[in-house]
Amino acid sequence: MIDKANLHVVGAESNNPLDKFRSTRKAAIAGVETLVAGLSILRIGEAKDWVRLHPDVENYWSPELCFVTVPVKGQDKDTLHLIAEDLALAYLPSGRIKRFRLALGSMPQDKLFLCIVPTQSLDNAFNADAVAACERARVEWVMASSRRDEGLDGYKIETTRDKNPFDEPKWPTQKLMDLIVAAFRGRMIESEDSEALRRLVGARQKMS
Amino acid sequence: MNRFTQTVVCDFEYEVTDGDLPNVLCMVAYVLDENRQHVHTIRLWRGEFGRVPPFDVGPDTLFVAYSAWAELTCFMVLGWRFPEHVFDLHTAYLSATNILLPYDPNEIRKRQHKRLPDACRSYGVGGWENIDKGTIAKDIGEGRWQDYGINQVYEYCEEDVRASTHLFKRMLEGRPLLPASNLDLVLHWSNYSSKAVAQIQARGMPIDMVLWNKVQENKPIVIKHLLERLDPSHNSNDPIYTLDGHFEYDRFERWLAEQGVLAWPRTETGMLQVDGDAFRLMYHVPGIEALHALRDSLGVIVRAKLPIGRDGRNRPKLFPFCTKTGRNAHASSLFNAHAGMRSFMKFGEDVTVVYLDWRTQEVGVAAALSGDEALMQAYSAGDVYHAFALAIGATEDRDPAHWKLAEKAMRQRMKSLVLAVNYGMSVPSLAKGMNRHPIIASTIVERLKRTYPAFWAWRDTEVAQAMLEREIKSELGWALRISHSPNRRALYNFPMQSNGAEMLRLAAVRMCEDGLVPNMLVHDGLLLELHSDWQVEQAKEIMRWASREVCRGFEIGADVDQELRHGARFRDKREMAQKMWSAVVTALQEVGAVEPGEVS
Repeated sequence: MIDKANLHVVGAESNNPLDKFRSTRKAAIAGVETLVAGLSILRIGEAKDWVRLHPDVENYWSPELCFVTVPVKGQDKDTLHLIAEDLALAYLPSGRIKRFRLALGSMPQDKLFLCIVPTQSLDNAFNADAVAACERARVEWVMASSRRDEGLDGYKIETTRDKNPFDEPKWPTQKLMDLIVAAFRGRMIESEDSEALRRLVGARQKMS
Repeated sequence: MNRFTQTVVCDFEYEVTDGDLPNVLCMVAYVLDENRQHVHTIRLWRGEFGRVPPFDVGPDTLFVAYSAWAELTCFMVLGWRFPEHVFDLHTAYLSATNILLPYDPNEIRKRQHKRLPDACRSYGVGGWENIDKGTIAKDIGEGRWQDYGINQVYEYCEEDVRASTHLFKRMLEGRPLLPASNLDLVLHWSNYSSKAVAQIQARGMPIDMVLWNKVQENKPIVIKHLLERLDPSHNSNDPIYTLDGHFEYDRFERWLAEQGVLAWPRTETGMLQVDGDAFRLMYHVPGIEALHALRDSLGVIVRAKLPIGRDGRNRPKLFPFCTKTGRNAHASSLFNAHAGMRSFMKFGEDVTVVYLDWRTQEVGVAAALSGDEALMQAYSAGDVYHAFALAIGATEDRDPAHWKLAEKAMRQRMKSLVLAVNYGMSVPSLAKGMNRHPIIASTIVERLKRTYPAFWAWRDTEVAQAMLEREIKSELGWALRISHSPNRRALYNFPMQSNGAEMLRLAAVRMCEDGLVPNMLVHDGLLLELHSDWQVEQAKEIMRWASREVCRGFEIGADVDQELRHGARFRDKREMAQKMWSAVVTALQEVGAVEPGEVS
């Protein structure tokens, strides 16, 4: 199991940001509630569908976290890793570290995902529009589509024709941290010994 | 041109109980001339069977039947010599319809029946409409043929012969989408699927009936004991198994969640996969291996549906060629249950029992057919798992014998790895199976590619060629036809599996011809009850010969996995199997059904 105490996060709203990430109970009991595991991580524009984000920002929008992409030959997806900030700062060039928040999102019919909420370079039109779309998605169904085809930067943000065309999302009761841990299972860089970090810094892997 | 002066199309009806040999009731045979025209009909009823078949069975006659192993089992019961040439219509039908269907997760695919009426329908042979085959067959088999009378049973039997005759002719001609049968190949395959299979199935495996009955009499306590020892959820308020030994899916799902197991293989419909492959993939989770063992064992004890004849022998069906790769799809044997259950097999004092298997057969086949010198060298060195561990940098110990003793867990991991590589498993799946980061899985794949480049290139070429030709074949001609979007992984593994199957078939036929009839065939192994050490050596030599025949002269080693003498009990060496059997015996001791030390 992952020792969540090793997770280092930045930009948390509370005094002790780690508290948010400590799971106080076991995973949801399957059969009582569908076990939510391995959610996709998408930018709001990548959903290509109507999106709602959890209205409870305090509990279902993470603080800013650190991420890094780790190249793995033979695996195209799931290369984004969550990395403890002290490790990231110690071993990686700043340009390689990605920082953003994750919010629990849903497409129609409870297709849950973790939505990337930008926190950096907000002067970039795509990021600024994405943040605006995320904020609106807390209260209504939103679709963000890239305007690149029109020769413009940023997203076109649309709302639904009817007010409540889809059922309200049935949000899970699992904590956001548990969902993030499940989504990044095996892709969390928490120690210097991490295979992913060894790959990034060019250290020999322990094969045995 | 027809090389046979006579063709005999034949069908028997018989009474049979599970696990016993048939009690022959009647036989109908159509005798055809060299132009395959019906000449005359032979009908024989119980009491009329002579000591020899009522038709020629020599080299000029072709014997034709559907699932001919059943007819040849009747030959054995009647003491008749086998026909020299057998054309098994079922094998020919399986061959003609061996197609890898497209992958469609939305389609609920039913297992296609391949019985005589199904084959006839495929080839446009009519005449089944007014006959309730299922009911009559069941009634005859269970001894209620009197309800129909002799004439109706004859009529029913003859209907099969008539249909088989039409089917045979159409198979030789071919139909749209069904290629004409290759007579030589079908005859070759039928040597196995009819003659060898009939003998092997009839032989069966001896069961310790005293102990089996004691387990059945004390079923609740045995189940309780097994659950206490092996169900990891046993002490919880919500155990996975009910007290009477039934696996509860919902409880299992809850238990996984409680253990924090968030990733478990699921089916396309989102259900947890609960087959052997899924369990094996998740052995790294504490308790899963024991749970898997329990699942595979309790079925045998709880359902007690093992076909055991009155002579105490378990006679399973081998279902030859019933998988896409041509491997058997054997069922209802102790080899379909957990290895621990095989200890119900106990042999006579006067026989030497050996379980022989080909050493790392699939890797040997891959090495030979790919012509990869490095892989052949690694294989021939004796321990290919050690070679793999060295190649990927998992060990620096260059002494295979020392490594085998010192690194048992790693060797086990290498076994899974070798299988995964043969299957062309993707990096993410390999990582999940190894419980390691995909970077490690990716590094392993890359290192193996560098170490065995010819194997890797051959594997890709084989699949590319198969995609172009819409067909992939074993060395001796068993073909799998390909639909428009096949599962490439099934193709990657086909050469290893289909040629492994060829090897087993060649060896089994040769052993039967030499009077060493195996008791059971299991994937890459054979169980034999023999009478001398010389016979053991002969059986091993036959296996090596078969490997050379299939692998273009390269030899796959034959190992003795078990050697039992003086009435010994079969004991699988694996730890979990020992634990499982020990739990069964301890439970019987606790209730006083057996004395301590009474059961080995």
